[in-house]
Amino acid sequence: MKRLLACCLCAFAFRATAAAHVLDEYVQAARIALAPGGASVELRMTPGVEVAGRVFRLIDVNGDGQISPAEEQAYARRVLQDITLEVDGLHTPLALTVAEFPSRREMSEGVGAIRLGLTAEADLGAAGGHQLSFRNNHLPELGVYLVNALVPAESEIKISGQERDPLQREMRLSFHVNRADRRGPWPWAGVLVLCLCLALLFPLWKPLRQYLRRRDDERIQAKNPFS
Amino acid sequence: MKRESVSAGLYLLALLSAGWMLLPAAKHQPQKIDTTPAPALRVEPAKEGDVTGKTVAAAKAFLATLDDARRAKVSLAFNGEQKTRWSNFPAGMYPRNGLRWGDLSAAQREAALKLLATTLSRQGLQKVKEIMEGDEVLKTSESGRGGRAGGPNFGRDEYYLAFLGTPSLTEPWLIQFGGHHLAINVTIVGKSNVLTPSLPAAQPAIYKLNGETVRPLGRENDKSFALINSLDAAQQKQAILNYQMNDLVLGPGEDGKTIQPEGIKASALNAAQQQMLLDLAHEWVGILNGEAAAAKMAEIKANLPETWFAWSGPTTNGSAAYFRIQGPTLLIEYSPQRLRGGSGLDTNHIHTIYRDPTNDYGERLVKR
Repeated sequence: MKRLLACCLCAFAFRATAAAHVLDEYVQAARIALAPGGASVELRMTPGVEVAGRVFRLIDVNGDGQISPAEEQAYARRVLQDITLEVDGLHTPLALTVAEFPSRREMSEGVGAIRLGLTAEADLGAAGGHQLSFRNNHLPELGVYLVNALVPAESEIKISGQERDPLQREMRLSFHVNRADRRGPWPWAGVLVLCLCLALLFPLWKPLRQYLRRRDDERIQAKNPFS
Repeated sequence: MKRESVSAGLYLLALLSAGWMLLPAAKHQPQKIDTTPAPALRVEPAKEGDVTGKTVAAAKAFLATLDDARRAKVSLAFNGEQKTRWSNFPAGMYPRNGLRWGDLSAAQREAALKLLATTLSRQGLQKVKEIMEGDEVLKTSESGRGGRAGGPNFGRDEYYLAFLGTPSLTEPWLIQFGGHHLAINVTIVGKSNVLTPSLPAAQPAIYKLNGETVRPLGRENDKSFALINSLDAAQQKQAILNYQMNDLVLGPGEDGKTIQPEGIKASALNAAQQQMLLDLAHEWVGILNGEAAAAKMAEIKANLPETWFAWSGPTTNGSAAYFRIQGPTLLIEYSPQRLRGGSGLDTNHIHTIYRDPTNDYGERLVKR
């Protein structure tokens, strides 16, 4: 989980200041990072100047011309509902970790990017082949999409295939984990400690039993001196 | 005797557990290869007669034309936020720091041009001028929204020059020059000059100036189509992506990221095709002065077997098509954009980006 969070934070370490300027579309770029503890998705969503008003009204639910933190969270959750992620064929829930919104001025000029960080916990570190599927269903009537995988930070995870639909709303990543046993050395540490304790105690077991029996006999004799 | 045997057995089991524990521990050490920060590069000291020396002299000559207020405005911290504050947006939409071209006197412009001519190649400076002139054309065109009150500012005056750090033969410093569709970042550390990240783009990508047709990114376009059409069917099958590309993947603000490469590996190209790929990459690398560009091209050539070429779109020259060249120390993207109301990507509006994932802003030279 730590590595997953680190991966997510890394993705946000370099905050976009200004990207493209598509005018009448809602550019939604997704970057997927794989780590043994799961996947993180960074979404950079830039409404062009001519659709910015429409996107702004979607976020500004109460229509007061301001985007409140609650409205930001509500919009981020809406986007989250429109994103699906599957790992090895199983639906994997995404959690929102970062939500950054541009100012109204930036958005109205078509230069403001909404940045969302999403993470999904999954055991991606198990040795062997895996598949991850990502789909973005957010505002398809406005959206143009990009989706890319980042080179995994952990060298044991190797991406072996990338498939997308022609619009880049959907991506399927095939990857392989070259790890013989990812349970780590700690279970064997327990066995080691247990064996050492037993090996030390075993030679003492018989004298200890004899001592305890002799003590019990002495107690019985003390209670009944005529037996 | 029986007791000793059992104890010995337990000790043996403990020993085996210890061994088993240590063996996977050794295996689990992650081998970070692709994303590990590359080691620092050795910095060769600059001399007054080499390119860095001439660039430092030209930068000091430019500074000497300024009064104190302007000198303060053009001089920014090397390790400050300004380093990554560049964009393809017009200055009206994305304010720049530094000195505005339109605010410079004739003598100051001449000194600034001399500086650019020293640090860039002849063809690099020509490209920069053509991009700026293109914006002047855009300013007066319908799509440029030029002249409208409150609209973004366009034109050759809306470009900004800044120095990050102090011009020096020994200490790192950076020349930043840019505006709409242009971001030039030249980091200078000793004898080394680094052009990444930089963003040469164009709108219009073809226009007339003094009766001559100008295409700021024309060679890039033509060489890329020549390369994709030199591939046989099997090679094209590998190189051509099955999806549309509407934008740069690693444009402004996307520093420090490495995407999974796609397309065809240069090792699957024949010698002539490999040379075409190098020539194409040189269109970006060669914006910088000859000495630095030659060093960078040698590095790209050495990494050629691990370099990828990907294409998205039609293969007929004149069509709008995206391509990407990606290697261990190189990322180039060429991305036609949509125009307002247009039904598809347009050849008259191109964004490109040139990066080195290991050495943007001379990162490997600076971390001595």
